[in-house]
Formats: sequence, structure tokens, C-alpha cells
Amino acid sequence: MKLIFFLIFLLTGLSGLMTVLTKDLFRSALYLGLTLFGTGLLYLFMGYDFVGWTQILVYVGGVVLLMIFTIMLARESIMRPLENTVRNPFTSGLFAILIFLLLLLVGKTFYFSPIGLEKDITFLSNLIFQSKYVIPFEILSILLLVAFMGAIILSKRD
Amino acid sequence: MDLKALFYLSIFLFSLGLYGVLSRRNALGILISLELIFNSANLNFGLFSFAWGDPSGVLTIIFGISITALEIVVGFSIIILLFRLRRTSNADEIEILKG
Repeated sequence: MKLIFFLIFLLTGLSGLMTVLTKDLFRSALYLGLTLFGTGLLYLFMGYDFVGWTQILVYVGGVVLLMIFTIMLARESIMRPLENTVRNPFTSGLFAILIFLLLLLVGKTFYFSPIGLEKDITFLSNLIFQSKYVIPFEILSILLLVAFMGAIILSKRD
Repeated sequence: MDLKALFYLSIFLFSLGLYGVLSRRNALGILISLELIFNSANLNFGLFSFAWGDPSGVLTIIFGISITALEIVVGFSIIILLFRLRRTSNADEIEILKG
């Protein structure tokens, strides 16, 4: 179990690294899918069954597919891969490393004790429908509808 | 189940996404890196929800996943529109708003 956790951990980190470093944008999207899949598996390890499978379904099944379609649409010819050139990598890398060190410093102050949650799915539905989160949930559904209509209107050829 | 290691993974993914957002020229690449940042934030919510026994972090993941999905949909449709107008998806060659 520990070995499997370590392997998934390594898979997530390395494919995240490859997402940023790969030249070809198509492969970058595929590596992103691998990262999101690994994160979903980590949610499963934490006992969040519903969240893990939702992550895999929505992200890997939906969002990455959408990205791949968009990348295929937004290149000038099929033969030429979409180059993903990098502009001033040293400054950005410096900023990223600084933020990493800052967050590392912040993380030193936390005390991690795995309390855990109840594994049952009903705690989520209780949280949504029997507490104060029901209005944000409904607003979120309206937001989704508006965003999808906006996307259709924007990308429609008239 | 090593929560500290998961925290390090989360901030590692966040830094990688920040590097990608700052350094990539293509707008699609910027959106992909942004997705890494959202993912690391979601992982952090889940991890602290587990560590402190507070279930509202899990709810935030669900909300975050749906908001990320719609952000990606709108962003990609804008990029496709720009590609149709300008034949490029490089973020520094698009200057329609320049005035």
C-alpha cells in the first residue's frame, strides 16, 4: 500500500513537471491528464471516493478531451505541431522557486495530524442540502449554464 | 498516508504551474499551466480537510472542479475565436485591446 502510494505520488509529480517542460502542446495536455489522474487517485487514497471519481470523470474525461480538441483546432496545419516556445524562462523559474520556498516556509508552521473524515457519501449531501451551502450550489448551476451558453455563442460561426 | 508529502506535492505543482503561466507564450499553454495551479489548490483543500477533520474542504473541491471546468470552456472558446481572427494563439501577438 505504501509502495503504491509512493508510485502514484511520483507519477503525479513527474507528469506535472513534464507538463510544463514539454515543447509540444499536445503532449503537454496529455501529461496534464496524467497529473489530474494521479491527483484523483490520491483523493481515493484519502478516502474521498466521490471526489476522486468525479475528478477522473470530469477532468480526465472532459477537460483534457476539450483541450486536445482545441489544440487540434488552433494550429495552422495538421502536419505542423503547435510549438510551445518559452519566453524568459530564467526570471519565471526564479519566481517559481521563490514562491516554492515561501510556501515551504509556511508549511513548516502547520501541524499535520491525520484525523480523517467519515467515508460515507451522505456527509457530502448533508453538507450541501441541509446546511448553508444550498444557495451557493444553486448559483453554481446557473453559472455553469451561463458559461456554456456564452461558450456556444462565442465560438459559433455566423 | 503521508500528509506532509502530499503538502509538498501540492506546493510543487503550484510552483510548476506558476512557472508555466509566466513563461509560456502560447495562450493554450498558459491555460494548461493554470489548470495545474487549480489542481494543486484542490489537492491542498482536500489534504487540510483530511488533516483537520473538517468536511467543508471536500465541498470546496467539488465547487472548484466545476468552476475550473467552466473557466476552461470559456477560455478555450475565446482562444478559438482569436485564432479565427488572427491566425495565431500566441498571447503576446494578440493586441486587439491595445487601442
